[in-house]
Amino acid sequence: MAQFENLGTLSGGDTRSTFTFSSIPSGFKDLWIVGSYVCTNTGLPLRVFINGDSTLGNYASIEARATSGVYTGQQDTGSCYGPYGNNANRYIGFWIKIAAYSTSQYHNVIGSWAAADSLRGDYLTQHMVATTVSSLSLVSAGGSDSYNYQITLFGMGE
Amino acid sequence: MPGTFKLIGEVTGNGSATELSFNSISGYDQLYIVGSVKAVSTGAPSYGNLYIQVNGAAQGNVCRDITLENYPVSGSSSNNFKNTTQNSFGPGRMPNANAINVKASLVSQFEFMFTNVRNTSNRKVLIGRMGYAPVPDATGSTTNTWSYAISGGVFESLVAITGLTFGSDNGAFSTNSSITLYGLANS
Repeated sequence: MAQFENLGTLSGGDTRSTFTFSSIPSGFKDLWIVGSYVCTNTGLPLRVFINGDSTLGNYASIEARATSGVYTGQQDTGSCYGPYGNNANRYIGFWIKIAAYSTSQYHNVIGSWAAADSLRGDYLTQHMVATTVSSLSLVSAGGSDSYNYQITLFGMGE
Repeated sequence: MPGTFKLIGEVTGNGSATELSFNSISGYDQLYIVGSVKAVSTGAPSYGNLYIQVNGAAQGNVCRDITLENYPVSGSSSNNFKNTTQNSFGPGRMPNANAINVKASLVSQFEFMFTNVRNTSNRKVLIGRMGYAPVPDATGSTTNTWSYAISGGVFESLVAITGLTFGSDNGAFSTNSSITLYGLANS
């Protein structure tokens, strides 16, 4: 098996609120998502849901974020942080890493992002359900929309 | 579906150059950069920015940068971010201010990524982090502070990235400075 493989790319100029990579194959060591999008909403994250699990109580997050010269640090159970848009129509770039995704354990989603509105942050989200990861969804917390997106899921390692 | 994760090249300091460049970049959707840098000790300021130029200095790119620094401070693990700064730069530079430093006393480590590298419809976003840790003396004590910064910016020109230049505002890169560039392609 290849050491590095594209497991899917989502790209387009249409407006949508959910990006899903489904039927993720096992066999790689780690997953890496990289991409960018333009956010139409304000003050809302693009949550990362594992296997379609949208129950926030199954997630715990810690986040370090800075915007407009003010630092915000927070840690919560029942939250699922992700790339964050603070102002409408700004480009947001991000990467997400998930280690050992094909084993039945709690999984950490480790992410970083930057936006055109002087916004920048890191986060770590734990999915508190022992499972293997077969799908990943990025879902707008406000049911709002993103466009001009190009998001790719890579599998890494044999 | 095949993807690409390829080593494009490595540049190293020679003790006299203040800029290290990659040229003729093509065929990638993302660029991933890993490096460790140190300045030659010249009695210059104790630190200076590591800046990044995209496609040379004449692109008129307007970049914004925000930095969290000094985390953790003195080994503390609680919320000790401070001196958050916000800067706008341009044209021609994408510097990373304050804690994203090139120092003469310590090696700074970093990783960066650019998105939308060959996409001429979307703007390119820089995501990165950089930091340094103090080197303990023989007694285990340290006199330098830790620093860790997360930083990002947007290169607003709708052109493909074909060249990157990493520069030091603190004089020449030392010979143990190294920057490695990887290219990721979606297909």
